[in-house]
Amino acid sequence: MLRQNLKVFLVLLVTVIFFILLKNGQIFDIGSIFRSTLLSDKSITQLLNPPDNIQEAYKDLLAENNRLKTLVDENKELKELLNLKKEKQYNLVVANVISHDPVNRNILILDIGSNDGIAKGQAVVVNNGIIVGRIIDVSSDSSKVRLLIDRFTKLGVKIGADHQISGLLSGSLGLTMHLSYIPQGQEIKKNDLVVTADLDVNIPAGLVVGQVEEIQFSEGELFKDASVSPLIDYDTLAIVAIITSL
Amino acid sequence: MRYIVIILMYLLATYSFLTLGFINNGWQYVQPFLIASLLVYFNVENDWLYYSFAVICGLTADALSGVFGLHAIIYLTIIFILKNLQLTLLTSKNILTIVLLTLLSGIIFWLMFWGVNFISGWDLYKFNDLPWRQLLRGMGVNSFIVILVHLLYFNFYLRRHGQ
Repeated sequence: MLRQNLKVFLVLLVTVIFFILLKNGQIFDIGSIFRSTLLSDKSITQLLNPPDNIQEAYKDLLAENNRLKTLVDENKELKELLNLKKEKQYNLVVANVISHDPVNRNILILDIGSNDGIAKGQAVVVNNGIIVGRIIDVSSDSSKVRLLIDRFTKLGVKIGADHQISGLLSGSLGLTMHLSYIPQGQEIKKNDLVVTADLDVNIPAGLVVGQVEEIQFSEGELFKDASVSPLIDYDTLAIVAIITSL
Repeated sequence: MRYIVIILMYLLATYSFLTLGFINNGWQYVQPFLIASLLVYFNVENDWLYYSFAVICGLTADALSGVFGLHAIIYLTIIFILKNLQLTLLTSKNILTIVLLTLLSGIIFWLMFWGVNFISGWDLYKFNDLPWRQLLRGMGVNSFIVILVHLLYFNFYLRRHGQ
């Protein structure tokens, strides 16, 4: 019985393979009978001759695709800011970054100003509470932000898991940030989180600044130094939020 | 009479294949040709008849799909495996055997398609985002129809004709 089963199977398998070979050689195309009855001549002509404006349509779709991708990114950033507002109960004002300052690239120009409640010294944040800078100049409908990586930035910070170690953060040539005045006796490690201290009335404590990257100290010194790498790319900032009141 | 039933089954399967092939609705996972081939296999004794029926069903499906011969080979292999199992392990002809073999045929069908897709990259069915829930539902519907029609045939037709 098994042999009979195998025989029938093989005979019909060979038949199917024979059909496939004939079909691929375009001698025998059973599908053409079905296709010709199912597809009208018009639809075949449409498939064979694509529309003339296909290149233009492609360009339009490409532009639309880029626009939608930008909207997706924007939507994600706004959602994160909304979460921050809900969690921390800050008053946040969302702003678009218009451009960089022509003289100093580490100063951003925002599209809102004193008319929207912006004042000097307020903290500028992104995402889930990452501080990127401080307002340094305000006009009626625009304002300027000095990024933390600017060399004139000075900010009191806390380091470590329990935020007990104090230090002073300053910018470093627009690339990373520099931590100084960390007491020698205090232990800090690479990748320790750096957050804002509660020394400034305009800047809430606990906003994330960056991560410790490299620690420098010598026996004779009173304080340690460290470099801090930011958690976000400052060159791609497009939407930020200003904490107008705590 | 039996041959008329087989022809009707084939026509019904063709009609179902053409009308149930809705995209994104999960209906493509119900395989009327597989159902028809299994029904003929379970209810016909002649080897040549049910194997030929499976080939014809497969070729009809292939005529409307992208890769000619694939369905036919898969149906043939399914029948071959089921027949071998019935000759060796599952020799009984009770309803549990029918249920097991029908479910097994569904698994073999999708496994073979997945295997062919994995080897050659043909996207006859989109295996990257395959909706498993719909596939399982389809297998459930397939099995249900096979069992129902088989029971109806067995209890009404065969008993009435005293076979």
